[in-house]
Amino acid sequence: MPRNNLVAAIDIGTTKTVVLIGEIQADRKLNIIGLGERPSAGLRKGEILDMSAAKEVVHAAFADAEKTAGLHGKVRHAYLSLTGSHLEGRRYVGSTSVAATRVSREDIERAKNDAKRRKTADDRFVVHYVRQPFFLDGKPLANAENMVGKRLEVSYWTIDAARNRLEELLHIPNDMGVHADDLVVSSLASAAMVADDTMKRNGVLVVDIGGGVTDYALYYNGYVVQTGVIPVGGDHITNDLALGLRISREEAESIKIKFARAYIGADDEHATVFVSNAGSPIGGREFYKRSINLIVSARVDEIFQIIRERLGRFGEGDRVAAGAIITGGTALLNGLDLCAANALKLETVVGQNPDWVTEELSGPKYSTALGLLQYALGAGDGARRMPGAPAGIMGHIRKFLRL
Amino acid sequence: MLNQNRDSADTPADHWKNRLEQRTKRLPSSSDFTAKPGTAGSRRLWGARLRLALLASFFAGVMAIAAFAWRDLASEAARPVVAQERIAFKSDGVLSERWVRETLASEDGMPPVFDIKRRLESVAQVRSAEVRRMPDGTLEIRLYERRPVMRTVVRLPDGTTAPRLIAADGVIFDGINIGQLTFANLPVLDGLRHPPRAEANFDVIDGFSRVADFLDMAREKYPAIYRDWLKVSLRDYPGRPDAPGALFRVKPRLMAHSPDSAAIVEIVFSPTNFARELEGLARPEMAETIRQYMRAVDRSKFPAYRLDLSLVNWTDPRNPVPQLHLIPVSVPARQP
Repeated sequence: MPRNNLVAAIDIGTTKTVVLIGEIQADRKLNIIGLGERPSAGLRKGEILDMSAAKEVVHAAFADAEKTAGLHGKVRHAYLSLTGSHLEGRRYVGSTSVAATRVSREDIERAKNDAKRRKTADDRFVVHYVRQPFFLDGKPLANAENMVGKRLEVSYWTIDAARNRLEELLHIPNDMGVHADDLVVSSLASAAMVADDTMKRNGVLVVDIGGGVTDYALYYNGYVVQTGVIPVGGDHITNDLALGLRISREEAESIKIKFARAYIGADDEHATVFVSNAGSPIGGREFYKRSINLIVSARVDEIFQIIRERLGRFGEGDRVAAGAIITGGTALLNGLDLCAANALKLETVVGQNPDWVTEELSGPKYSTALGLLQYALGAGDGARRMPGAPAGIMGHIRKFLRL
Repeated sequence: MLNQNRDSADTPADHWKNRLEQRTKRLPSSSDFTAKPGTAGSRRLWGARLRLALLASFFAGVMAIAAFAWRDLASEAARPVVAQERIAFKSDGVLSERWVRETLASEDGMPPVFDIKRRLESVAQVRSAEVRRMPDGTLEIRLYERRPVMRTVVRLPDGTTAPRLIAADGVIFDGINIGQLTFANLPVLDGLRHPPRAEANFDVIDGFSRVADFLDMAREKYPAIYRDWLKVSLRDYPGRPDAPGALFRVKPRLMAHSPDSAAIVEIVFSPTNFARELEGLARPEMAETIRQYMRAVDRSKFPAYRLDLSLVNWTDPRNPVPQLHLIPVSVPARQP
């Protein structure tokens, strides 16, 4: 816990950087007091290509957030989101014999250490050890302590990352005098906001489609069973539109936001849309909606087909009863949920942040940053329990957002 | 899950926190800059304050004198004219005296006479305005208006679209008092690559005078050809006629001329040589050449063609009829 109780959530995405500043009070309430948002620079597919440009943007967003919070140079601790195709996830199982009749704390620690004893490569560091349920003589248990059995097993979903990428990422907050308290994989941070405990128990897939990459996390029986990153995101849709319609990226982005749909409808055949030239309100061109939607749906379908293939049998409907939740900036693309439902063969919805988050931060593009604050609060998956907390939290947040 | 992640503290070996050292930059605090000036420093400080006060007093005096002089001048110039005052109005365009009165009307009658010229010229359709007060008190207003050469569509801040006209100097204006028929007969601007620059509260398209010359020549010398033009695309015109690859692309209306020439969905002109190209296109031999060509080719395979007049006639540059460059296009460039 930071000494001064001020903590920043820094979500550095390919297209935008969001910084939230939270004040963690003594009774473990979260008060969001600052917001900074800037278009990112120097990143591609979630990884830093130009350190100076990336640093400049993050520092500016951080300064904006501090300014909104009425603080300057007071926030010295941060939680950072982590994404990119360098992230890899594996499942490691550890086991031990129970020393006495009942499982003791020592037995549990021994099993845990056995699962974590695998060494990663020298150029890779572990970012998350996400524990899965205990198995005592083959029986799944949430807590094995004092249970009777002979053989205890525990597994971890372990996410590791490339050393260079981590060093580059840490350099950004460190260079402005901010200590990174933890790094959280984007999909897990987003899931903390958009999926509640019931969904995770029933099995839910959280897909965070950002500008450059798509992160996903699969929960089953309340535990993370798989995570992954696909180096395809919303920017690829823009790029496809620019190439397919022979227009500039700016025009393509505008079409994507205003007119594009992730499936082809019956009314698209002869419908056209008017698009202003070069971002100017003067003059313009008409495009067939069918052409636009054909390009967009092909790319979106590809993203979900890759996820489905990677999940394999874990992604089948009976294991993912709560369906899929789409979040991230691209989640706002019209018809994305229908396209995802068709490709994943799962009930799909666009994620909504909990209702204690006021309208300004309710969009899916803020899920990751809000999730980071939840991690900072130490509540993690308990994010959905916030409304049950005393009404003071809502009051503070609303007070800030209605400046 | 977060509580499970906290297990990482028990596993120091491979976790990033235990293998990566963070070198947090030390930022200067306000205490780093506090200093206690000595006696000499204190004296210098007071001297500087005195000089600053004298300088501020001097500037305040200058500003007061300037404000007084300006108020005197302004009171001379700002003699308001009465709303009912007679106006002698002339215009070389379509704007009327009524429009002038409405434009100049304000709660206190007409604005000061110096403002009238500025306010009239702030309307994009007005190229220049001459405003005089005659000895008998009549206000003489003469307007020189911009003439439209093309039309376009703009997107308004509320998301709706509205038609606009473009003058020969590239200024975009509303087209006050200009009839629907005039709008309809003008070719449509298409494919503008660069956003217009703002000048005196209205938008101007750079390098448009060459486009206006092209359209004026077509309208005045070759009205039969010009009448069939629906759109002129500036997609390949960066604003300079001598820019590499600069072209004017014209899309004719459906069923232009004859069934043969109707297959031509685009005519390409060079911004530097369009006079000769228009002349060649207007020759009767050209129409006959197109007709023969169209009958010779398999129209079922390629139903649409682009006529590129910008390509130089290498075979015989002296021949006034350019060599025919009809290029099949797979997708028709125009829409019904």
